[in-house]
Amino acid sequence: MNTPSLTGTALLGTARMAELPPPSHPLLATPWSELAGQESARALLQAAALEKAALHAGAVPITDVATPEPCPEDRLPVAPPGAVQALARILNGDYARNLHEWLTAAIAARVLAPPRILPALLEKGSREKEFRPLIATVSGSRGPWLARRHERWGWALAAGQHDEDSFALDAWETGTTAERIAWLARERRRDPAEAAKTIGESWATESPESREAIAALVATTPDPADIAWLESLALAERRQAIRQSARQALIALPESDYHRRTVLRAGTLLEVRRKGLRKVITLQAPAAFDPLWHADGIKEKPPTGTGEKAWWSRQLIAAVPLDLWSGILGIDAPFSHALDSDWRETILLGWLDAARLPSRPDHLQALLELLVTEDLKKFTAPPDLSAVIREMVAPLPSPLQSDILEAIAPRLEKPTALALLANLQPAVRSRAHPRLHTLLRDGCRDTQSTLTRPDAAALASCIEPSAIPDFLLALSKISDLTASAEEFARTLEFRQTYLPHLTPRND
Amino acid sequence: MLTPDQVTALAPDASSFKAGRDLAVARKWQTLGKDSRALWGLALGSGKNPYQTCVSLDDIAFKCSCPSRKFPCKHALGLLFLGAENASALTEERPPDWVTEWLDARTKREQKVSEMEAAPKKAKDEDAARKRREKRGDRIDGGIDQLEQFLTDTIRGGIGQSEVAAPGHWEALARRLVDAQAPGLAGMVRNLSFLPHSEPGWETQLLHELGSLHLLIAAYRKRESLDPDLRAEVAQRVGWPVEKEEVLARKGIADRWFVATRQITESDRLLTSASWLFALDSGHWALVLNFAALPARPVEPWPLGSVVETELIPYPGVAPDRALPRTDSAPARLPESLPEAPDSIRTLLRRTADTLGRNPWRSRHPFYLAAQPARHAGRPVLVDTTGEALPWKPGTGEEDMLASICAGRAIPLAGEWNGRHLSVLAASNSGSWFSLQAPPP
Repeated sequence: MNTPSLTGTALLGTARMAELPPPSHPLLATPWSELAGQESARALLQAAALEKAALHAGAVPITDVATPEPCPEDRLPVAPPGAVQALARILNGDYARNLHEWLTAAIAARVLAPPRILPALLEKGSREKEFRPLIATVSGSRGPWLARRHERWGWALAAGQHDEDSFALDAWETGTTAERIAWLARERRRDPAEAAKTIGESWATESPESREAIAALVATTPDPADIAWLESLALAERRQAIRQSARQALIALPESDYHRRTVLRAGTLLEVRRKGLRKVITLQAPAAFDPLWHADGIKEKPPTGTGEKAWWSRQLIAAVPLDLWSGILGIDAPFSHALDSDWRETILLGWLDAARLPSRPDHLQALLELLVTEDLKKFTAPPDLSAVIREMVAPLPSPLQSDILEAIAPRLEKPTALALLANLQPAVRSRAHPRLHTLLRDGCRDTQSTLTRPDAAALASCIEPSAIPDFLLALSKISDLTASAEEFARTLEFRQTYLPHLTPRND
Repeated sequence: MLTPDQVTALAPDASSFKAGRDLAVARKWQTLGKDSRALWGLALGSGKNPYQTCVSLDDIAFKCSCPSRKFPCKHALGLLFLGAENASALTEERPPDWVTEWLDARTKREQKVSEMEAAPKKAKDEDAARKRREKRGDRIDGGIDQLEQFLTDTIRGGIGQSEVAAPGHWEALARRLVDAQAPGLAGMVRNLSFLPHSEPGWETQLLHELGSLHLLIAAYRKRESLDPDLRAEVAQRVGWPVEKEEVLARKGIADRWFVATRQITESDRLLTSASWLFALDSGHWALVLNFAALPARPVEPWPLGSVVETELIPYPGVAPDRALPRTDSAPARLPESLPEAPDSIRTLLRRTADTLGRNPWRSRHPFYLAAQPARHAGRPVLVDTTGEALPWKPGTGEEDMLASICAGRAIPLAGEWNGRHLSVLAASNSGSWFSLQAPPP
């Protein structure tokens, strides 16, 4: 034990104290000596008061503190206070669904999120992946700077970062998954062949999670250099997600074996034939299941209610992206062409499945226009129309979403169309989308409507900013708003608190 | 005009804040207007007639004809948010009669109050007052005897005894001191019950606080031999009230005061709003307290971050922190740019040492400092521009938030140093001065 301290003595009690412990600092020696003759408890309490005063009055600064490297200054300004208040409310849970609009509007206005709110935004991005690219952009240079503070913010390092020098040279060897993927994305842009070689060499030692992340990256940006490892390694993976990403990448690479054999199968399955006076797309169902199909993800056993041949055919069609059918069939507009009436359902379902692969919007729209005129009740396995539309339209940019919905709107029932709008929240421009505009106008006024309040709020988010005042004016003339109409109006008003502060700039 | 941050800070509670936000749209109002003195509007409510809402801009006073007991009510908050964010919606330019009548009546009332204050007070019944004081003095003396006995017993048995860490141990004593009309001592004792197991080294801290308390009662017993300032200091700390008139009779400090921090705490349904004001010319600090019993809220004439030219009168005592404004009606204005932060870690420590040298009981030392967060030996610190640092105790989320605002550079921060760690109470972000206690942003 060291020399007894004042605290040590106090813990045991002065009843067991022989004498006052020595002062903790030489400066206290003189007053200490005056305590000697006093009753021990009082002496200790007075010594404690002295020690406290000396300690607090004699505090010294810490000097050897490493401060973080300053973050590069942002060239863009921070969003104005009105817009900032709205963002704070969104992050507190009010109007949470307007986050996407706030972020895109801020990006278009070329302003940044305020530093004070950035940690909350980064947390949001950690929980909800789809916001990451937007959040990374409005974070400016602070995003990557802050990302190093927490492992869960690591995505912000990768997402906003195209700065060539900002990676550690050994990111691939020592980085987190996010850092390695960011490094790989850059390497693939710089030298795809070298990057593919790196992947091939390390594949065997990668964890299933990082294999999945690598395959997902390559699926969105396939490169011919990747064919070798995709075909030999990724296609043979146990994890379905990895195989699926590999197939998505390979089908986009005409040089690959997978592409060649898949297109070949499709070509023998479907062809354009003359039937009577018309040319019709016909289907030659396969006689037996080819064991080689297994490796390409074709399942042999059909779900109950579906015939084997229909099941195999549907999958073989589904493996080929919509964009390739025109070439395979040798016709311009395959999705408005007459179909073999015996296999109509199979061909359509196959194409609907194929629409999950990246496709051109006009092909998606053509297929949807075909679908909405179809009498789905006749199908043996009818798909859920709004789910299918939602799934096909959702990946597209907002303007295309509203264009497609505008085109198919007359064929949809009103509640279905409103539900789709509420779900997708594409920007509806009054002039370009008169049918959707009318749908919204009537939808929010309809006193009989069964619109839920969240849906009403979502619909209010579809209205283009310049049309908001008109909508609000119209609503203010209605004396008794329904609860959903009130929600509709409140959401419009909320959008009006930030949109005027975030006007797009092109410089 | 207030900033949205300042309006947020005025909201009496979360539900008023939310309701006020929802009212910050023109659709909820029949008319809206503003001029240099006031904002006004007719709020559409559930009743037949709209509510008349008005905010006086000179002193941020509110009036609304709605029945709400919240202060300010949601209508006044909505009006302020509108004024802060969307002033163009306030289209009327000429105040209606009900607005001018209220504003004029307020001015008259203020004049009356100042006349009344100027008028000589009725002589109190000196005799009865003296008797009451004597009686109180006897009770306090009794309380102090009990307290000393308790302290010395505790020290004799040792602070390692298990009952010392039990919350009831100190609470029972605090109640007896309240009965003995020594609320100051009661408060100090009550604070002791939060120390056990609060952080590493709490034993030393507890011992030091016991020492401080003992020093105070020893000084109180010798009060007749102390100089008047120290006697006043000791009496106040024990719990003798200071009459407002007594403070107002003293000399004040006229300066341009920057409202640097504001902290609202609740204890037994009593809200205390504590604001540190910094004198831009003389460098003085003053703590201004306002109280209110829930559900009312302390009325603050000067928003956080504003500068007010007025006279603050320090309470009697040694190196006193608390001060009383001579008048509440001095207008506050928002400075165009933030006043320069004068402190460094070194000047703060220097000032702390000077203060403690004269008054060992002072525990809160305000600062206004350019600094940034960092870590030292794994613990949060604040580093000033000279590279010197002190330990910092950040609240939830504060470390990330300040790091994000600073981004590796020092920014102006205000708060308190208690001898062990710094607390940040207000900071600047993009030129706006905000309270870390207010609901986020």
